[in-house]
Amino acid sequence: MMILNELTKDYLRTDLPKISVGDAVKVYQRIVEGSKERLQVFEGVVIGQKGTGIQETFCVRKISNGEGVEKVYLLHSPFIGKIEITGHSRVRRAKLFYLRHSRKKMNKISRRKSLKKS
Amino acid sequence: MSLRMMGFKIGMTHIWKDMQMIPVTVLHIPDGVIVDRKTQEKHGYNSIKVGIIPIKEEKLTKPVAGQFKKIGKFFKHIYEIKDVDIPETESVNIALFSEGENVLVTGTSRGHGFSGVMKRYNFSGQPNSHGAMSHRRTGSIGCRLTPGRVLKGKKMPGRMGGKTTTELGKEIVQVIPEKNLVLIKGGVPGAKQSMVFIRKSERGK
Repeated sequence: MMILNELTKDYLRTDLPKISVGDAVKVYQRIVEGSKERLQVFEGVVIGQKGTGIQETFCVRKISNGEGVEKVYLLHSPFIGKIEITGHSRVRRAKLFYLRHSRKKMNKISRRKSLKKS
Repeated sequence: MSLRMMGFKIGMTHIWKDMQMIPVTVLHIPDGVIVDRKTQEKHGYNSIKVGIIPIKEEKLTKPVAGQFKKIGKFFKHIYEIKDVDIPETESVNIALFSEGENVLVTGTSRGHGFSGVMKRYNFSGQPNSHGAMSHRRTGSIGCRLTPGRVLKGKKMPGRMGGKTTTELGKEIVQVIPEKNLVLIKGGVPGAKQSMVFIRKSERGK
């Protein structure tokens, strides 16, 4: 495992902010269409993180046109243009899967703007 | 036989190249010290014997240690590379392989023990409900009076895995000689830390 971490060290993204579960984030995904490239924004709540090193992923949930949508991103992927943290909620779970069942809680967490952590 | 080297599987990860994720298996291929050379005149074929991982003499049995007496260095593993023109060097290194090369990887596949036909041969099995009384069984293995026997080669439960397996057409993504590592695209047979051989393909790219 140490050798694998050493090997993939150069591929890790250091320019992204540290995100944690409960954050309200804007993920700018690079979309390449032919020769054109643009950034697509996905704004929601981080409901889970998984994996370590180059294989680390995070899951963002948002309500899109009344329908819940989740997207899992590879954190160190070059396709992530940038990540903006717009808010943070103190949560007691590592995985916020209960947000899938409660629209009320989802709205509460995604609108909270308190940026307590440094 | 073409150039081959022995090593150990470290594990899998992925790297990024030109905005593409490449799944790779990392192999540790230690530097091999040439212990002995066999020649056409004396032995009937040309080959070199290569030892890897230095070890104390006391750790080996006498017959094994005897092979290393000539050079006075002792190794944990020893393997032979046949019919290859290795220049008059004292050791072989992973640098003999290059990036983008097509190789064959031989390893011992993971053992699954005594397995049923669904796991071993991807049989469909029977329904789980609707009154089915068998679920993962083999089912019928033949006909009646004709042919009156079970055909040879019938797929049945038994030991699965743990066999020497060679995978063809593996691409070398990266060679790191200073760390004795080689990155191979995709998977490689065997468990982590298991012994593998990589061999240059004779078919070319």
